[in-house]
Amino acid sequence: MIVDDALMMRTTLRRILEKAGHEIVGEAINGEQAIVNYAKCQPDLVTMDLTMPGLGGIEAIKRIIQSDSAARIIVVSALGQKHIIFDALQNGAKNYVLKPILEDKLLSVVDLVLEQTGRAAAKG
Amino acid sequence: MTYLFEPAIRLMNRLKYVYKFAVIGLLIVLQAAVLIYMLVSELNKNIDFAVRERVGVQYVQALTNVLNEAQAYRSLHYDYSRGNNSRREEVLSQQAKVDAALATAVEIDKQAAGQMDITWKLEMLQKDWVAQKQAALQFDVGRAQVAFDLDSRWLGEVIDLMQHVGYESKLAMDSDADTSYLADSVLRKMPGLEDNLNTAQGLALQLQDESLSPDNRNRLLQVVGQVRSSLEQVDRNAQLVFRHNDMIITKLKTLHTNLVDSIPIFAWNVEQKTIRQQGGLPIPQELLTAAGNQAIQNTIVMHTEELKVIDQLLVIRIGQYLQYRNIIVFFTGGILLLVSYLFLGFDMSVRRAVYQLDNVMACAGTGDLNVRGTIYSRDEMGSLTNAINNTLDSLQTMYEEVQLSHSRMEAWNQELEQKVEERTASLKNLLDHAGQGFLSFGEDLSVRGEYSAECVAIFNRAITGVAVPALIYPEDRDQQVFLEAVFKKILSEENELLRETYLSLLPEEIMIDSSYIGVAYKLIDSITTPAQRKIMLVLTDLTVQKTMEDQVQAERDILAMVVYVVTHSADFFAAVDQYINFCQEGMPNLLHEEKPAGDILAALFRTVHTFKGTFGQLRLGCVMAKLHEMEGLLEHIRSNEIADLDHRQLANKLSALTPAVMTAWLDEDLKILKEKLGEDFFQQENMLVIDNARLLEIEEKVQRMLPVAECSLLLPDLRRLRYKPIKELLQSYSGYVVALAERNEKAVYPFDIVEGDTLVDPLRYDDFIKSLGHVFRNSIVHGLESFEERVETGKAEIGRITCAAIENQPGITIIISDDGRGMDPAHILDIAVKKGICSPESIKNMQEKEIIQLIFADGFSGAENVNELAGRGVGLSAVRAELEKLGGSAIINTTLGKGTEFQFILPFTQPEKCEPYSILQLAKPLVSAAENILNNEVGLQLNTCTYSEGRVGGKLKLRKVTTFLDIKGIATGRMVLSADQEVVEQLVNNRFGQADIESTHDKKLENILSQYANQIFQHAIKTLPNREASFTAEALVSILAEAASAKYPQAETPTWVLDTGVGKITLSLIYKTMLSKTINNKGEINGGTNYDC
Repeated sequence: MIVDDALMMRTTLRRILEKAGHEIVGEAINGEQAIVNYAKCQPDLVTMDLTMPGLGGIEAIKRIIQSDSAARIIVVSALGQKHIIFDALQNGAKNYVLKPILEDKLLSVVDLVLEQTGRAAAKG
Repeated sequence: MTYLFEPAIRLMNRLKYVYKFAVIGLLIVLQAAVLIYMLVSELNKNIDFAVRERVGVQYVQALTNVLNEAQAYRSLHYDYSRGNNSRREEVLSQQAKVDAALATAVEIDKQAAGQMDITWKLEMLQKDWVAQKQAALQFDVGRAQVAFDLDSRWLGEVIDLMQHVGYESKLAMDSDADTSYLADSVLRKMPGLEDNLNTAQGLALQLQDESLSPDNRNRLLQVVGQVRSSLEQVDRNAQLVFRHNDMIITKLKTLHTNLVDSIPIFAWNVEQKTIRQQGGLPIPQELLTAAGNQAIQNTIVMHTEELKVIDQLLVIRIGQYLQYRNIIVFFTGGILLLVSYLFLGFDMSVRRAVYQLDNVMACAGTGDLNVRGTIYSRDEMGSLTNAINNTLDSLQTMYEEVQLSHSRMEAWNQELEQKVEERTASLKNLLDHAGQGFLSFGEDLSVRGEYSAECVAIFNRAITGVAVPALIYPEDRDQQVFLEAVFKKILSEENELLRETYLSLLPEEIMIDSSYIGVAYKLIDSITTPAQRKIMLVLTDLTVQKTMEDQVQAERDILAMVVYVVTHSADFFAAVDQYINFCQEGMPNLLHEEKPAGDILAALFRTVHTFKGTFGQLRLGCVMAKLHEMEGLLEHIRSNEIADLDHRQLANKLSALTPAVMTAWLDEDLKILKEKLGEDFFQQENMLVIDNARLLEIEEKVQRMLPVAECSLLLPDLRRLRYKPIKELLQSYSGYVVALAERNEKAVYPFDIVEGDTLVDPLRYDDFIKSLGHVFRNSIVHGLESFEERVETGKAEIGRITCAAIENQPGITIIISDDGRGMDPAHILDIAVKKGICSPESIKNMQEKEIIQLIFADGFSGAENVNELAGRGVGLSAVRAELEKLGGSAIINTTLGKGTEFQFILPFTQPEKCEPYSILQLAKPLVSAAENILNNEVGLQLNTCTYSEGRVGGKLKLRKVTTFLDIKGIATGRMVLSADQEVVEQLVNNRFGQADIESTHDKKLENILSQYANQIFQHAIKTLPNREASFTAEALVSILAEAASAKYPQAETPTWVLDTGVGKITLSLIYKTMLSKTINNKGEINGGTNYDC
């Protein structure tokens, strides 16, 4: 599941992930949607943008982890926001990718997170 | 069985030895002493007893004495009392004897008074005697019996007293059988016997009287009977006594026998006398009395002897007792002393040994192993002491051994420590020289003691124990907190992947005291405690590197600048010149124009903006920055003050910006370029460097001075020097646009200019084309939507911008289009009003086309922010200005949501078209010259001359000798003269030209042909009117070849084959039809073909 308030980001991520063989089961443009959609589509992986309006990324991560402690969440953030990334990691995110997104970097992080929790190709 | 002794053992266990011994000793001594005392006292008692008995015996003896005397007295007294007065004196003397005997008794009593309490009785007796004595002589005959009885009674008292004494002196209670019998005899029997005897004796006196009454006779017989019975008793007693005591037997037997013999005789006699009348024998009184006296004497003796014997016995007994007592005392006492002595000795020996052992072990316990116990005794204690000594010996040995090992280990330890120190030092040395700072820290986040020296260099101080986050970010508390949190998480996180993620969050580069420090992080697992982890930092001073990188980057920038300048050198030089021109003339002129200040400012702005863009494109950073500043200043003036200024005041305001100052802005960049490219770049050899202005001058001169016909020949060529296809002028926008798009987070495809082959005068169109940059910029910045919008509206993410330069009859139309969002007239109107470009009233009646044209107005800008490239509202107005200068017009077609298209129509002012002059013009003259020379000077008849086109990319077959002649000038090309050997030899023979005799044959051939080629050329040129300076020959190369060929892949190769009689010469011209590439603004002409020979 892709969570990002920017259409371009969502499209780019979708393009990259689908090209690599993953299936996108849902999208969300803010935190609340993310939580709702997570329950609905139960993805194997979530990419979460941290700078979203409304319910922020961190809060969304917290709630999703609360509802499903095995949730795999990768946060996407701009450089220079390491505090927020750290926060996210402490709240249960598994890894992170920095913007601007590099295709191979994103895919390697996705594979890493899936591997470590035992899934090959994900519904994300 | 031992449990019986438990209490004793326990008690003993609780006591110290002193007490043990004291207790036992005391008990022994006490007990012995008590026993001895008791024995001795018992013995003493017995002795006292015996002594008392002896006293008693003495008393009894005295009393016996008294008794005897008294008995004798009685008899005498009786006799006296019977009428025998002759006896008076005897009675009195007998009384005196009795007194004496009494006195003795009294004496003894005095002595014995302490032991016996008889004195009162004795005194009574005495009193009674005294009474008796007083009455003694007063008895008459009739009262003889009474006197006798009174005496008897007094005798009875004496006997009673004797018995009393016997009791008091314990004589009567003597435990010894013999003695008690004797005592009994002495105290009772004998006195009884004596009494009876004396009674009988006394009474026997009656027998003198023949007329004794029968009663008296009977009484006498009774008394005799009593005597006999008494004697029996005595005898019985004696028998008992005699049983086993030899001493007694010895002493008394005889007497006893006497007694036993004599008394019966007397008794018989008495009896006989008594019973004479009845038939008894006539016994004379004297016999009777004698028998009686004998008997009495025997009795007295016996009695006395018995008393003596008793006394003796007692003495013996006492002696025995004393002996016994002494033995006991001495013996037992002695033993007791001995026992005590031995016991004390035992005590002392034991205690000494025990204390010694105690002491020894105490000393040993405190560490002094030198003490040993002396072996005092040969018993268990001694062996124990021995054993302990041995133990201590071995302990001491062990201790010494331990000490030895200990000291050895100390030594080893020190060695090891030294080794460790050395190792540590060498490691530290290693680390210190590694040039990197190594430090590590654990959970406490403080620097641990061992870190490399480089750290000190980096942080400028010793850093032991310093908190690491504070070290990394000395001033930024937030970052410190962040670091602390991340470090702690890393150290405690078990999941390795998460750890890696956290590690990646840590800063990789930090600034310490204006140095760049690169930081690498390593997690170290502690060897001993896996749970404890440490983080190691590897710090590398990157300042130098960074500086170098910066330098490299600067160099790269410079290089980029240089490359760009070199590859677009024409643009570069043009821009520089333009700029200098502007600074020196353009701006001052502008400022002094009599125009409203606002217009001047606007124009100035536009120009500066364009220059800035141009220099930006040329990568001339310094001047671009300065121009940007200037723009800022102008903007400031425009927005704040322009309304109040007139042009003079404006000029004043800008007076600081003198030409000198502004040209100086270029200096920095130019300096670098000159450095890199050399002065030569600005002036190159073998190339004619003409600047455009010069060429223009020439053009004008030509136009002015030369006749039209010649003009038409010259001008095109001149112009051709400068002209370029318009697409060349526009092509660089492709790259520019793509880059610009990227910077604005958009994307466009690169584009090629459609058509655009028309040759144009760059000078004329330069400004305009430069201003087109604004159009492109606008397309990118305003026209093109963001990715999202594009995707949302279903467009491709990557935008498409096109540029075409179409030639049609009136002129050239440059079409720039984008597939962006188009322009919204309403929006344009809004901005126009906002920016004050037109009043709200005037817009009411505007047509759409008019509205859209508003974008060209001064100050119109839809951008929010001003940056170096956009937003000033200057761009499109600059375009319009340029367009006006060229007399052109613009048409804008825009569709909201689909895109915008700008059409700029640029009319031709003069016939621009002209043919490029090519080398072909030279062909005919060359061939004719060749022919002529051959004919005239060499003497070779030309038979045929065939011409072949020569295809592009064709091969040129070379003959034996070939000369290559490069032609430069208005046109470039190459003449290839290839001749058969025979022909050349012919030339040689004719001494055509100067032949060098010394050179080889081959060389001669080459030389001659070269000269021939040269001559041809010169001739050919001469034939061209007014063209001498136009062409030069260069690079004459001659070669000998066999069956070689030259290939010119991109050139045309028209060839004339001149067939002489002896051989053939071919003359070829190599040239490219497209010469535009090789001609640039400066009029440099260089050959750009690939020659492959």
